[in-house]
Amino acid sequence: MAITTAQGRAIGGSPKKSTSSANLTCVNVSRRLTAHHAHMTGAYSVTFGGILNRLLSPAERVIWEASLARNAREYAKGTDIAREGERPAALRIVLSGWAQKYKQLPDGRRQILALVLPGQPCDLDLFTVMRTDHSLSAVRRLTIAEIGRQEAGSLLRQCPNLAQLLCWSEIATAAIQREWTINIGQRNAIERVAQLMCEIFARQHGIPASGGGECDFLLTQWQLADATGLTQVHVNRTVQELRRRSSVELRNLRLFIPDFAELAGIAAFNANYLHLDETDLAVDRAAAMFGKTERE
Amino acid sequence: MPHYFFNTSNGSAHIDDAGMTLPDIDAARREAVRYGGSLLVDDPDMAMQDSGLRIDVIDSTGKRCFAVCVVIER
Repeated sequence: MAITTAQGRAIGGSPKKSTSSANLTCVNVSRRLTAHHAHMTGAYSVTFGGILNRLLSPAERVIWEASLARNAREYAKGTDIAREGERPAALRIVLSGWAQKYKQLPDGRRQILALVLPGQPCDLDLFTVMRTDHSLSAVRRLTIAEIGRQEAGSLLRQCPNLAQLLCWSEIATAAIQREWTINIGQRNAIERVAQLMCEIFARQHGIPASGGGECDFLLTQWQLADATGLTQVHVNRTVQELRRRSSVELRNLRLFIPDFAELAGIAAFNANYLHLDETDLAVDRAAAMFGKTERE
Repeated sequence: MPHYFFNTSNGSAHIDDAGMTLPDIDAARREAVRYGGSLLVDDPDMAMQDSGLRIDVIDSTGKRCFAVCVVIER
């Protein structure tokens, strides 16, 4: 396989050891910088985008986004990007599409642990652990920046505010993980599915002041079952019940929520854990803790 | 691999329009029991409504393969 970069220079072969599968689509997509720019400046991933804009100085943002574009790779739907037990190979940031973190038991039962939406980092274990403890795959077609250890180290030196940004992202990720734990441990089927729908919507567009709206929803009902710990048949039944009770629709990879407050009521959804309104606060806190680094 | 549909009646009626592809009839039995278990965890009263929870498993030709029933006997 020979693939061509934006500069027209041919580069060869499967670019990463961790992705040895033969049918993998993995090309350099730096020519699409502009499209990713839109994502990285916060159109999609509400919190991270806001923090990014406030925390990184304009000069840092140029360096960071150039690195993202240079290291952008594409993966086909369902492809494993990293597998449990491998040595962490890259700092990964989703640029478009969704990634899922998952673990699988020996007999094939699988739990989707988390969803990574555009603008969000996948895993910050690059500098810490020897073997990664979960797998990562593309939900559908995915563009993801994979920044190697050396470049990531150099970025952290060149962009002093980047460490705080990544730290914030880990805090937000852990908060979502806690919500997923109570979801699977305590919520019933309809609450689980409704909660996940509310979360996915809020992570893309925030909480609507009134009414509802629509957002991307790339999971199949099979994946929805793996994320909520329900059987497929139960998920199908639950999605139908949500349609009946609150006119929620899943269609063509989009989620339609006519009345967000009503769905949030069914889910017992409380958006506090997403820390959506805390951009300014978080930036001030980070400045107080780490000392002020020039941002403007 | 065969495709099966899991319809519930009594306890809480629902026609399964999506179904599920499974390796064989044994897997369908396990899936039906697991599905019933999952429904009852959420709503134990299903076993007490009407004459209990009933899950009919239908194959892709429309033939009923078996039913899983949960009833409370006095």
